[in-house]
Amino acid sequence: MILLPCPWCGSRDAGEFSYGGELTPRPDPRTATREQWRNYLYLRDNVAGWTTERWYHRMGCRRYLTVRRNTVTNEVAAP
Amino acid sequence: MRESRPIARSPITPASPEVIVEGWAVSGRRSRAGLTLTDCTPAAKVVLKASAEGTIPERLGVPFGRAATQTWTLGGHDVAVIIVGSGPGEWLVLAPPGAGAGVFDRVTALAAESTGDLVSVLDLSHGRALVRLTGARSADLLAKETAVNLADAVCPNGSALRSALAGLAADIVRDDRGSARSYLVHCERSSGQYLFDSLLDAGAEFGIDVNGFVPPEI
Amino acid sequence: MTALSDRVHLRNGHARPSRYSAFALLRHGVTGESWPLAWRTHEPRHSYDVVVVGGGVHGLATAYYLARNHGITNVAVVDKSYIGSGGSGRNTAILRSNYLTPDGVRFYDRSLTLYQRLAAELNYNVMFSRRGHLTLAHNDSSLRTMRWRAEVNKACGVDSEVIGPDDIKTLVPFMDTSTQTRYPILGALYHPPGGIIRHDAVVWGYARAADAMGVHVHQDTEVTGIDVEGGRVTGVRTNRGSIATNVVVNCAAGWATLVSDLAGVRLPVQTFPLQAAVTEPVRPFLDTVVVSGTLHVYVSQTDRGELVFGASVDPFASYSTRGSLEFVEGLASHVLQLMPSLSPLRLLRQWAGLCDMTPDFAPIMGHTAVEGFLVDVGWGTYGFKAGPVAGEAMAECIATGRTPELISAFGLRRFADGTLVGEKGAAAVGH
Repeated sequence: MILLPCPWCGSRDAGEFSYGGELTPRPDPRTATREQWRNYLYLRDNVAGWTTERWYHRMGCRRYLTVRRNTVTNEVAAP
Repeated sequence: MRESRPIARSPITPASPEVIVEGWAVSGRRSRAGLTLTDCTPAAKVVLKASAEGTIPERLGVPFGRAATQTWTLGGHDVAVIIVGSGPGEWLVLAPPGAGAGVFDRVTALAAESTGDLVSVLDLSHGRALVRLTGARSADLLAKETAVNLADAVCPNGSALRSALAGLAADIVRDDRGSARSYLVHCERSSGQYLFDSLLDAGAEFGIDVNGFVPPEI
Repeated sequence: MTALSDRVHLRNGHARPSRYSAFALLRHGVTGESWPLAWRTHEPRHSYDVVVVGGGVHGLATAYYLARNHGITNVAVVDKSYIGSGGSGRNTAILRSNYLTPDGVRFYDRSLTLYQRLAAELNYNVMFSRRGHLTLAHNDSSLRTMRWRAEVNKACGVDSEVIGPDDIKTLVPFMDTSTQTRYPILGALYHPPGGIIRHDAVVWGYARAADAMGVHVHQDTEVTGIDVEGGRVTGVRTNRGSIATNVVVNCAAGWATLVSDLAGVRLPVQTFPLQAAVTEPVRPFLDTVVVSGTLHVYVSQTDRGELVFGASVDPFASYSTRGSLEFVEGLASHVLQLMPSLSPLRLLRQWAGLCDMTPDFAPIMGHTAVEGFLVDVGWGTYGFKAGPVAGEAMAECIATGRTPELISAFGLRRFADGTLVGEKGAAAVGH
């Protein structure tokens, strides 16, 4: 079982959350080139190790949160 | 006047005998078991959403994660309502069946007083299911279906939380009846029968029984 | 001792393994001789014409077809662990070609054809078992998609048809086809050519056949760097030394981005685990493959009698191959909805494989912006069944320098150009 630290609800089982994926900065859609936008849509670092990602607590407070997770061991740390 | 035809039905089939209360078909069964499950779906359920940082939390007097019973005067009558801080900036107001319109007006008026805040008020009485589980072993039963720690030190009387229960997203409210440990469980209407059956199934080992709904007490 | 001398002889890299035959089996049975190793071990050369990264079915098939179809034998296949240690040894070994788009159907039909004759071609028993493949429809929309798939399949000459609950019950008597379930079965896409195969044997068979033609298979050889000079690949660095080469092929599946990053090529790939489990063996009772997209489960019975279950990918990206309790709970409830009589069965073990998922659930194949760095990645949850055709196409790509028509839609450029592939509907269970 993986526990995620929800700032509102406390530690909860990862099954209560939806995975939002790796935190990727969104370019300004008004000024971004087509390539920048497509890179933002499709490219991910896919790190094997510690990464920063978004999760949504769909079965709890229904808020988004940022989590640091090790993708190899699934250890979780506060952001 | 004795009503003979229901206006509304809970998603949960009433255990016989079926009786009509405030237009709702409910179970007229009376149980003296140590652990009982009651379908309280006829209760009025109004949801208020506002900013967690605005003035509403102070006016309601109930923060996220807590629940409290208050007496509201609606249409000249004193009505006991349960206010649940069900999420950050989200409250659920439970009231006896028939009080829905009064609660809705009261909450809307309260929301209107809040300035500079985006608020929404929804009457979800017919969109949600509500059950009450009462008895010393109620926490043991719930522990079979949720991962949340329900010990007194973590979830004392007056606690409210939303979590996965039997695979559903459900609001769990610790609301003891006198000295008896008791929980309200609130979920989507379409999951009501499943939740009820699942609790009865898991409660069999504790001798659970169905008890009918007797308003005004939720 | 013949066996020992055989082995020493083979290690030195001079002799080829003997042919497997009924006569050889008899001879070894009578004399008690050990079998020679199926492939040799070597010290890495200083240079190769082609270095394939990843010793799974894709990498080994690429090397095999390079040697067999194009005469390119100065090839190394390197794997950081043992061959078949990744997705090739962790998948549920299901083969089929009942896809949704004509491109998808033709591609997988070619793969199925190669698989069907693989045992004879490789002189290795890969235990292909053609047993029919059922994809269940639990709602109107999936039934409509099944009809669509059946028509596309027939138009491409692939045997598929939609059948009703009665016919399903005849094929799988243990299936609950009643209307009293949470997700009643309305029909199924029945695909008789589908089946299962022994996945490890496919890996070993390709390795042995490639080895026999002079390909070097280097296990426990991890690529730690890829040298690129002036936009061209010049070599790879490994934990066993540097190797000069002008062509590197990334067949690393779940670890695809880690390898591509070494060459400075970014891929739109995220790694998700996919879990599977197997029960204790029971008497044969299930002679078709059963898949339910709605319930996210697929079931087949191996020749040993074990039931093999698979699901969709885990709900979050990870490189962890540990199993989870959530998976087993969900799996059990889904399987029992299909076949309630399986409830006394016990699970023997569960595991996970890593899937390299792309945004359009289609693979990425061919050349990249770095000359000499090719990719055969993004195979997600359906890489095993494409192994032979992917190897054949990649070999052609390398040997001729041109991208074969069969894989032209799968180029990395499509993400920059916005020409994504639409094979979600039938690519796998769960999406």
